[in-house]
Amino acid sequence: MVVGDDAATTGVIESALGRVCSVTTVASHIAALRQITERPPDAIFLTSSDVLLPPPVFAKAVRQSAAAHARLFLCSEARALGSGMATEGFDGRLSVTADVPQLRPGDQDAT
Amino acid sequence: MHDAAIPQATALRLTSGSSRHYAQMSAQNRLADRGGDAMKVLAADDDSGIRQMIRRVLMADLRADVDEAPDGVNVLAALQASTFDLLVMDIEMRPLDGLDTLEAIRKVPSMRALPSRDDHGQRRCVAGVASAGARRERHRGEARLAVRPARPAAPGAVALRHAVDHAGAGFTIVGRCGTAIA
Repeated sequence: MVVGDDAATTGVIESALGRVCSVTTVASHIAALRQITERPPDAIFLTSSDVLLPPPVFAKAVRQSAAAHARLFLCSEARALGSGMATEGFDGRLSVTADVPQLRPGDQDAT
Repeated sequence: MHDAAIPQATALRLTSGSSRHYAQMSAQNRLADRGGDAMKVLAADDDSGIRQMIRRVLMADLRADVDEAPDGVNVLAALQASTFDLLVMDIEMRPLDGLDTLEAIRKVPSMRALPSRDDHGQRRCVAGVASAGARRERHRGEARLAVRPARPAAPGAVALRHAVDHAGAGFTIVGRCGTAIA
């Protein structure tokens, strides 16, 4: 299961995983938790945050659900090690390279 | 069920000034104050028997329209889809427990209105009804969510009425509803 409201991000993961397994994409964290109760997936990739259910709360809920033994991965923008990224409850984190317009060639340093 | 007599003995024991007036209103007066509209309640508990008890009590006492949710996830889904005057919720549920659900509710402006008083000091409130009354969670609730314990040894229906009465004054309450349901 791939969870997230950014179609570009979920699409990349879905296309990569779709070659080797069956993939379900769900836009919201709430919908994902409702769905995994009925059909527990083997792995869950969380690609976005959610005001109602931030990643640590989502992970806690997954661990108390019918999908308690699913592998759970947090897909987030790349960050330096030790930057405080909360991954508690997750089996791993996949870094997604951020597209930062200010760093594109030709742009001037505003400072 | 809408023709059922409304008990007058709903326990009302608040002491703070602004809430005392509402606390002293009978269930029947509260219903009249709403212009006859039925209070819309969401009852959340992982035990269907307790949900049915909540439904029975609230329909009899307040002539409420009661929807049910089996866990916190379905509570959030229901609150996104509709509005409620009162949420009566168990604390210990899976996969999302009552305290995490309350925290989520208070992060979202459209839902945050639920546990606060309206201009008349009533409706829009949350009552957390704990089945086990874990001390740690209760403490956490008191510290972060203004959860208050109801009568620890009260039978389920009494604890629920007590919780609803207090919740009507804007409080969030932890009782021990589930342990004494016949």
